[in-house]
Amino acid sequence: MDKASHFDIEALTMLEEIMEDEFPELVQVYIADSDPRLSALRKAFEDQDTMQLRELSHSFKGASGNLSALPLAELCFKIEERSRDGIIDGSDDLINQIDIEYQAVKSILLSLIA
Amino acid sequence: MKILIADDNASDRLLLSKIISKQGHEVIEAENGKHAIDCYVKETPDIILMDVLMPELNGKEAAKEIKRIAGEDLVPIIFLTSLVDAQSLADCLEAGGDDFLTKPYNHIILKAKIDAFVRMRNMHATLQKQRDTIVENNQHMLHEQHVAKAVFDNVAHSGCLDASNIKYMLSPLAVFNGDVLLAARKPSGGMHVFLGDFTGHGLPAAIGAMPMAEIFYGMTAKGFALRDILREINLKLKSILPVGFFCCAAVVDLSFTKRNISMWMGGVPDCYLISDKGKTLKSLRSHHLPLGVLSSEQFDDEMTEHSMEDGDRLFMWSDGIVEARNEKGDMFGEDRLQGIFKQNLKPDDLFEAVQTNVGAFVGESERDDDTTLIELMMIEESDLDLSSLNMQQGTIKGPSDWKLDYELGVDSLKHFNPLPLLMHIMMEVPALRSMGGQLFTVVAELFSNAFEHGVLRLDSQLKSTPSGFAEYYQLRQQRLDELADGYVKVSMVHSSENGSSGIFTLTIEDSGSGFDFPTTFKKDQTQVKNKFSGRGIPLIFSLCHSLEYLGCGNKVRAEIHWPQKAAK
Repeated sequence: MDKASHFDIEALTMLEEIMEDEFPELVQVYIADSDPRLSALRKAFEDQDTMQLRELSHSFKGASGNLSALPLAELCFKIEERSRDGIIDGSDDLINQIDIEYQAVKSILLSLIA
Repeated sequence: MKILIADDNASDRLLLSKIISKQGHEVIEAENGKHAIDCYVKETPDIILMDVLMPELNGKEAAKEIKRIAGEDLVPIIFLTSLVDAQSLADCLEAGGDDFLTKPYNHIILKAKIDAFVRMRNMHATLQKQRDTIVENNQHMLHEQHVAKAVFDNVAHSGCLDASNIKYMLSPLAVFNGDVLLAARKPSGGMHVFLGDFTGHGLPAAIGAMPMAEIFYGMTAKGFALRDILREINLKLKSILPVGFFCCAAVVDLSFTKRNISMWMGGVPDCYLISDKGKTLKSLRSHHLPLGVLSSEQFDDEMTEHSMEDGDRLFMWSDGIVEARNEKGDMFGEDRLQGIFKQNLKPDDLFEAVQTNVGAFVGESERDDDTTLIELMMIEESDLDLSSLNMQQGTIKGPSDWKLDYELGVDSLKHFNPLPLLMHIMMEVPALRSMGGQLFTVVAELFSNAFEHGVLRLDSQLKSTPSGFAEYYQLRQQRLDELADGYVKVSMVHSSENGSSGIFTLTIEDSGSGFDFPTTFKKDQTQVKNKFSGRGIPLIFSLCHSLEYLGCGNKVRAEIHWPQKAAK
């Protein structure tokens, strides 16, 4: 898997250094927080709830950014901006993209702590 | 440092917590705004890192509440945000945040920010501690000033200021001001009144007032004349006050019996003497330098006399009255002051009129000097309350009822001058002290008459020519050398009524053969003057209430009454 296309490699290395033996815990907490976000995003889209979409994507963006998963954070930011402006059309497509990106990030992270 | 992290995102919290722990700080975690407030109250963290968007209560609201609870304590709040637009960041600070940190976190910047806030917190704590110390010191100082002011008031604004013939006003400008108002009843009757205005304000001005008031009350109670009191005060102030500090003063010796005042004024504005039921105004001008300027040798204690009838009033004030300023900065001035007295007001209303006019003129503007005002009215002394007199005499009250018989034999007469001893005994009576000069004259004259004309039998007529004068002294020495027997008996009696009046009787008897004296010379002074000039009797007569010769003229009795009546 191409780590560099999903992460800021330099930042990720630093993160591992900082967290030391707590890095696996950080990964597990991130995954435990993030898995439910996907289904929550889809539900918010079905409900046409831009407010909920905005909050979820904002939070997802922050958490992903801190794990240096910048492309994922970027996708979240797009939904956040659209939701802020009240745009809902096309967000389902973005959610699909986030799902794919997140699965890639998740497997890389899990491989790091395996 | 104890640092609170408030973030709903578990992974963010974990990461931040790790970074901060590694920097050596203690970490407390909260997962929403409400929880953050609870943690703040329970744990009192030193610094708070707070996510902006949180469920329950968002970061901005939580920050406001925490700042409110913290009050004057400094609790730095750093907002954690992934928002990047300028307005959102500015909003964080607007809501009470002290700084912000953008996600993703950079641990180097985070460390620098925490360190900066630790420094700020320490500085703030030092500041608060110093402020509390200052407040404490200030309260301590105010308390001390309050106590000192109470002592000062007891000393500087006491005496008989409440007497029925006095009205006065002291401005409440400062805790201490430079104005002093003193009044004391004299043991021999009458009153001393002192209005003083020290240069400057506050404690430095008040310090000079303390010894001054002590001298004024102490010496007045002991019967010293006002001139002597002024000399003593001037000397004291000259020695204790630094150069450039002095006391302007208007000082009055009021005699109820003589119906007059003796005044000494140094450096004060003109005083007004209102007579003739308010119709006549006499302006009295200061002719001396203030107290504490000149040395004793240069000091001039000359006083000016002014007669005052019943109901006449003397107005004295410190320069604060004339120099009182209104909001525009104009001074009240002497013209406005004089104007009040030209309105034909009832004399009884003048004092209040001055008060009201100055007060209205100054209005709401800041007073910049001490404004002290006193009105002194001539009344019958019997109308005054006696209590003030008795109280102030206190422990220094002298002997009042006593008798002394003192006989000098030949040897004593040859070698001893008894006058200082006799004077000393008389001067123990406060009321007699102010009459020291005239008492000395009376005792000295009568004693020398008894000794020289009585015991030594010298003829007073001898002294009428220059050659006779020389012969007189030659003869005196000769007879003194030859003196074998003889005596002079001195008897002194003093009695007093309630301490408000008294009679001093001096009787001197000699062993001589007496002389031909007239039986009734009280009425006809011209006769006395012609016939007895050699014995100095006219002078003594004028000083005494009565003077009579007894027996064959070898015994004389003089009575001196106090308070003294006006000389006719």
